[in-house]
Amino acid sequence: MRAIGLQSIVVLLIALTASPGVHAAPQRIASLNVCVGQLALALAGRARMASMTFLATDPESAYWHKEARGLPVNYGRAEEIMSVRPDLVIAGRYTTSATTALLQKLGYRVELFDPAESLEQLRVNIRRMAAVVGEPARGARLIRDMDRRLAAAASAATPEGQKPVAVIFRANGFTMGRRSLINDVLTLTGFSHLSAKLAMEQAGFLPLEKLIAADPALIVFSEFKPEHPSIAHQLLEHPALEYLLSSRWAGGKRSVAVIPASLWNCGGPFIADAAERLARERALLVKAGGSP
Amino acid sequence: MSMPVSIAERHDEAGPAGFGILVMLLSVAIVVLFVLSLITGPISLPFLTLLSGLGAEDASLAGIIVEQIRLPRAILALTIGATLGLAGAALQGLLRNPLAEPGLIGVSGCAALGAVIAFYTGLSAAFALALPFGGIAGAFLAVAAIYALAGRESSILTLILAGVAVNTFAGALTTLALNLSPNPYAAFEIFFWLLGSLSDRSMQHVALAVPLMALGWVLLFTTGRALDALTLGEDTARSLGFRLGSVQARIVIGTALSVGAAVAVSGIIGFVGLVVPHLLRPFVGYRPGRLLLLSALGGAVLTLAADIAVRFMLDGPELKLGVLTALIGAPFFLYLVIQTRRSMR
Repeated sequence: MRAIGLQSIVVLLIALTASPGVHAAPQRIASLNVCVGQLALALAGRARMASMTFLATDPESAYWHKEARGLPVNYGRAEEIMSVRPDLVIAGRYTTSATTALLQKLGYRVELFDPAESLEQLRVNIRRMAAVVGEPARGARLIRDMDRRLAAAASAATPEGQKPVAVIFRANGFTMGRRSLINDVLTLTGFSHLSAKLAMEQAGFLPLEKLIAADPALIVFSEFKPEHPSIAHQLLEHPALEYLLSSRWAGGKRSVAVIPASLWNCGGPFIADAAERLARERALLVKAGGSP
Repeated sequence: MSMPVSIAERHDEAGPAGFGILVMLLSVAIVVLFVLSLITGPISLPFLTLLSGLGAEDASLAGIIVEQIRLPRAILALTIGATLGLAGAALQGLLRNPLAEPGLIGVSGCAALGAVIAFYTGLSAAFALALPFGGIAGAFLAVAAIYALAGRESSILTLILAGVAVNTFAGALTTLALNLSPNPYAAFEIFFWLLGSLSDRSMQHVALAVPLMALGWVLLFTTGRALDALTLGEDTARSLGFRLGSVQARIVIGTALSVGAAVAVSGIIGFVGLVVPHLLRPFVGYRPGRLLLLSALGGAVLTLAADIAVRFMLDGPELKLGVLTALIGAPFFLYLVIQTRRSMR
């Protein structure tokens, strides 16, 4: 945390020397990252967004893709950002580091955000974005609403009793680790996330055999049948998965849920949607199982 | 039909007994490796669980893993390896060229192109057999093109250059087809098609490819005696009653069927058809007819073994099978090139 603090002071100093009007709430915000861009859009409003990353309008990447439609677009290049004369550049800490370093050197105010790998980090990010764009009250309201929905989902899922194993399975067998938002949400809604069982910290590839051996009650796909075929997606239709789903786990029938990655890939208040859906799945699974 | 055999027996080094022993040894190796392929993987299962899982009524988790994931993989490794070994031996016999190999002369590359077009356009989603048919069509065009470009009795150099041309063209078009696909994953799948893999293939792939491969094998195996006779020259073969046109057609169609269907489900697995016939040729006294069976068995052994090895070589995603066969095969190819240069001087 100290390093982050120091860095923002340095950024602030550079920004202060570059443009005197930095204390006023930024009016021309340029976003280099689909996740932080969505937070800024929600907190500062469309009118203050000067540029969004091209992914902002992609329905598979951004939950608020409709809201971003029509805004100027960038592909993460410094020239594109400079041409819109932003008074604030926001970006992820890791994804466009060369561009953000260059923009900082050129005297722009750049704010970097850590990826939201937990609900706690998500709250920190929303609070900080709210402060950066000068809307702290809105930020507090966003967090309050999200937390209320998360708490409702958690209690609806009746997390006492058995904890069915849930696993995220994406194209190519990609799965999430313990350090992820979806892990927190699965735990919150009364599931045992497979990453915890396998001691997987980071996201990575899960061999089909390991998925089956883990005896999951719920398989979460982020997309199932895309319009255009690929071997990566063909794995999601492997007959072994059908056989697995037709067999039973200790608590009863197995189940499949499709929860779009746009709900949980980026940290945003829409994670509450994912929690509500998972809570419903949990309730169905445990009810269908009856008394084991 | 006994004539060509007796003539060819003059330079038969290993007698019929030696040949029989070799066939038996290779068959035993196939059985051992097949079982090994079923009991190894990212999840270690106790052997008895495996046995009880196989054929059990209830779909136990171990049963699903063995029957639906490892069994199709083992079957494909066996049959695709056999295809590549057999096709390599047959092409070498027909073209009388030691470097003829489905991968090197572009047959596998064109088969991959055909399969890629059938798969990524969504054709095979509507009609499953479109996948192997696409591979077969591509393979057929390649064999025909090579035959037209290099022909029989061509120099080794001509054949290899024709192969380079066909391979480069097929590779470029495959890359183009994958880049044109709107699915964002497609572009990365060039690695699967160019470097082959049997990871997470299913019984559906077995059902699609194995019958067509078997059909190709039947055609290729019928040419054994004719290939023996051909070593004595075309005129002699003709005088012994072999119709050259028919032999050519059977090898071209048999190669297209078997290699096309194989590549359509596994991607390009290179060098098997080069390495295996070369290692086994000395044991059959340079009789291409006998080499067919040995190479099919040897190809199965090599591919099964390589496919087991790739499961353990990397921590994380598997090494592609074609990478391993290339690591073995490419130095071997270089060695052969040097040998050939020496003999040509």
